[in-house]
Amino acid sequence: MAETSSSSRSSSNGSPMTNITQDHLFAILLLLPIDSILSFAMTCKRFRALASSDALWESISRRDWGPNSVDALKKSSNLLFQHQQQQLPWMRLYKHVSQLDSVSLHKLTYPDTHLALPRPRASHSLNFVSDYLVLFGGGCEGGRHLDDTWVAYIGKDFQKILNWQKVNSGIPSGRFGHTCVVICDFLVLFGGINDNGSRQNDTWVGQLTCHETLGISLSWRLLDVGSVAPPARGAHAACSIDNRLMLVHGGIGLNGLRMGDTWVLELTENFCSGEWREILTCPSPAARSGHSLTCIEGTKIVLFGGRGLGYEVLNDVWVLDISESYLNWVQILYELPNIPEGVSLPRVGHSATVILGGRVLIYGGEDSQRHKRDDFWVLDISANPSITVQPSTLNSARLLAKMWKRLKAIGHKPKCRSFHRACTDDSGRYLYVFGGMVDCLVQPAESTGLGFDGELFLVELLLQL
Amino acid sequence: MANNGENPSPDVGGKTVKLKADDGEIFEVEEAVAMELQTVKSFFDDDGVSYDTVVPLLNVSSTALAKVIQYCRRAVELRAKSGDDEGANEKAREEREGLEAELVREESDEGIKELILAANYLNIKDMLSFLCRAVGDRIKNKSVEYVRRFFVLENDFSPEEEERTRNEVAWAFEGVDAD
Repeated sequence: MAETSSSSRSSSNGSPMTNITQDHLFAILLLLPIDSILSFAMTCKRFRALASSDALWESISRRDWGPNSVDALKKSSNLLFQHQQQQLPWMRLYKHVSQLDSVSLHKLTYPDTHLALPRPRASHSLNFVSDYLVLFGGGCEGGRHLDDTWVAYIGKDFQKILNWQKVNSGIPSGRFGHTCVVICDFLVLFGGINDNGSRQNDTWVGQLTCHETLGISLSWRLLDVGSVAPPARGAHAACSIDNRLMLVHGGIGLNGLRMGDTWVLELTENFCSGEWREILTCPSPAARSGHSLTCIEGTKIVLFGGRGLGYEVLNDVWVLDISESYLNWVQILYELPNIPEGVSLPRVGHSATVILGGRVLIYGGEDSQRHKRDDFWVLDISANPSITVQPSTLNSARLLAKMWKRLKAIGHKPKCRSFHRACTDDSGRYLYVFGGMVDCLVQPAESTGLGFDGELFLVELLLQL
Repeated sequence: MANNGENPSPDVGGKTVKLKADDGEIFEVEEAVAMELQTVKSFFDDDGVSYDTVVPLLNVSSTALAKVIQYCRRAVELRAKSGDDEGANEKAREEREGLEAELVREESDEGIKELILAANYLNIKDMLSFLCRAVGDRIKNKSVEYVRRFFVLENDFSPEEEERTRNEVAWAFEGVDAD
């Protein structure tokens, strides 16, 4: 860092200490929470200028959102501004991300309708890895399973027009209700159920390769996990933790009963083998299926919703911090402020994804009245003063109410759905949603009036830049 | 050479360096300790400067210099203790953190600021780092007025400007009670 003395040596404002370098003041500011940084900005003109510097706010964004999001944002903005190497307005960007209140939906079109497209399905897996969307398996009409793997390029030349390519079939064996997460650049797939009703507990690792001449391919191989593995299951939840581990919870087991166990998979460096171990905690979230797990801030795993043992739809939120020496699921209690429409929050078969800013975006799913939803909610557990505090000592209603925020959705209006899948790209600003179960208005595909959807659409976080 | 008890005497037998504070007080320190102060190191890196030369530190008070020397002396000792042994490293790190906490705990706001100025002038990276952390801890979650008092700042906003600034930053305080 260059040592430059501040230009206000002649200014009468401030103790001699404020003449120390800007770098050191920045170093102090970077240790502070946002409201303290902005209190600093309110002291005087000089400090307001300092605390408003875009260079500082880029560092703050990097600190709070992680380097990946920041680098991805810089990359995409370079394309936008092309010849002008414009600095992103980081302070304004940070503010808009924090205050996010709307999303814009875009229907994604296919250039050539003669090309094969993945058939409509639900309870499949959809992930973003190495600039590609990867889709595997799922269930479709007639309760049949699928075993095909499809990829679509979402790189820098992406213009909202997609090309799906089928790259594999047969391996892994067909299934739905499995989970697939991304660890480093590998896909890690676990469990699921096939159309014979057999539940699985095998673990697969998928790797995308781009050949100059042969094009894109994806290879799946069975992971050697030794003798210890979680009991077979489908409709469980999983998430990757900090690019090293995978956490799995609950789901429906071999005897058709919902489970509430927690397992962690640790992979060797070359991803050739892995080790499962169970995490026993008390208390722990009740048994459930169709719920979600997301990892925020690198170490905190957030669990939400699902369907419980009594077939009821749940709305509880739990957090597990993997960095603590004693692992514990802690329930986060909340109250919703009065909402005129009386929206309720129990959800099953929703999607939960971490978006830019480090919060969780919840979309769709089925509610307690068996209605499919199309609403977007942002779940922010940091609004809670301390998530390691026991629920009984939480007394701050205003903070609890800040946990859930409903977003406005503009643009394209897809059908309400459940058991769809969603994933973001590297920037965390764009969410891709595919498939799911939708209500069939024209002709019921099955006697229950259910249909499978094959639409892929894009959800963009609206940041006025 | 004045020795008022705050001036720790160096070990006999090692090479020493003389440092002069702003009030003329001279501190004799071991060479290894003196080289922790990058400004002093640069002073001697210049050609033709003999180690007998007294280094003039015009911007550092004798109180601050005494504390800086005390810290650097302990830091050099602790660094010598750590090596390849992870256990020893861990212990040394804990001891250093304890040393930093102790130094900071006893200091007033003015004292911390004086130390930052000294560490900044003398260019001691590690010391600056934990001093900045200490300042951060002291102003974290405090009111605007508290921060002004800490840095001795005059509010040079007009009432309209102040109101405008408050509105601009209000988004970060949503849902938080006024302190």
